[in-house]
Amino acid sequence: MLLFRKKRKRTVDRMENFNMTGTYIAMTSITYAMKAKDILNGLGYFCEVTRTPKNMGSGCGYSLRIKDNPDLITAQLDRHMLPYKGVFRP
Amino acid sequence: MTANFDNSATTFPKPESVRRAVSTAMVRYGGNPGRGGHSLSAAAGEQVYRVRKTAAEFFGAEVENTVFTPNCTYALNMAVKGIMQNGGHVIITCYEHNACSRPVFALAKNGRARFSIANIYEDTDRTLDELSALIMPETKAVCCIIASNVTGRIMPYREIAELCRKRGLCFIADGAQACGILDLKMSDGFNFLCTSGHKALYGPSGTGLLISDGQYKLSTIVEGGTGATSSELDQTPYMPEQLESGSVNTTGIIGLGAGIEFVRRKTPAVIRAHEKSLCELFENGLRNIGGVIVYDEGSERVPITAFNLGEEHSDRITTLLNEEGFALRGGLQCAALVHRTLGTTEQGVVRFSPSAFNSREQVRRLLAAIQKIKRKI
Repeated sequence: MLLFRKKRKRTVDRMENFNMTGTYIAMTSITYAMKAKDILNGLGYFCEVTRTPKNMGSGCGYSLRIKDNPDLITAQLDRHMLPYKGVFRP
Repeated sequence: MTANFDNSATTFPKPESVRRAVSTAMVRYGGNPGRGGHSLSAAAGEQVYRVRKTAAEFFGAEVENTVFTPNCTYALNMAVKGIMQNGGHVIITCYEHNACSRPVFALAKNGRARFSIANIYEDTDRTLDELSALIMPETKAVCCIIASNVTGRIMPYREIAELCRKRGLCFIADGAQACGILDLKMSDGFNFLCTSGHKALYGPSGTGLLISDGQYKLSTIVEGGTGATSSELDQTPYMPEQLESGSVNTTGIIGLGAGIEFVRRKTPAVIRAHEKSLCELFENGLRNIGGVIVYDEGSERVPITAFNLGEEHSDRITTLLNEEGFALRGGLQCAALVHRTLGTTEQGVVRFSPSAFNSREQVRRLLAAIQKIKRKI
């Protein structure tokens, strides 16, 4: 049974940094995180908004959990002028 | 049941979709948005973001420049005080609501800023000439209402925006009576557009918006928890959270989203045409009654009719109308400068302001009630 359908384009380049837990991009605010998710999902990238894991940021904050090449994702964030604090791998 | 013709104060009734959205919010979105990683907070955060996006799209703004406020007064205070934080000179007009004139006056009273009041004329060029003449080297901003909350008169806001752009001034617009009635976009030249959510956007009371074009950074007048950069004592520098300290009104915001959707589906033009036809019916009826003064009658207006019955105090008329089952606003409508301009500070005016939900039949019954009162006084 098909439980869900992923919109993500499965190119080799975009999958090269894939890992099971993903990579986190710490965002400056929940609004920027949500906006980034909207844009990235619209472009076919996997992206979800999550609380920044404790060991990755100072204070409260929200991150994008991604599974694609972080360089591609941060390029999109830069292109759309979405500020972020850093890229972390658990 | 009382027929509400005081929709400029707050629209009532609200659309069914707004009532449903508020009810759903109370049941399903009880988490504090942006205040945790748990699913309740995340669900509420998604909803608040969805409404922020709806509002941003409606006014042609960026989502991060769309700030939720408790009402238009807060939005105006945040914009005016945020821009004038380090002093300077600000120009307002003789048609401002107290939501603009009082913060400006308070800044001046405390010696933190100076202000000038520009007259508004039928001739737009004359208005612009007067505004231009008031600009000084230390002038930082012009704050202008888009449509008067007393008479409905529409100000030449696009021309004022253009003047501000040319002279390098910040243009702060009070859209409380215009948003949802006029098709306003940030591309009209606003640097800040302030509005309530509970009037012609049909949201619940306790909602408002401060929308920026991103050109000016506001100093904060309230600081506190934002759910971000919490280890720092400095206020978070990131918008819109920077200007949204403390828990937001999740239920109200979700209702506001449904209200904006209601207006977007109907379109401001259709709503305005309906309300305008009610104002025309009402004003024609007033003319037949006789002895009635309508203010700013010849000006382009949003659908509001400000009138008086002879010399009778406006509050007495609205009290009698309330007894007949009609809610209209008398007195000064929180707009001291406008009444000084109209010469109605003593008498006030009776304000008739319909909404999308008023009918021609209600207007006819109101006219009959006014006729009856006229005979009585």
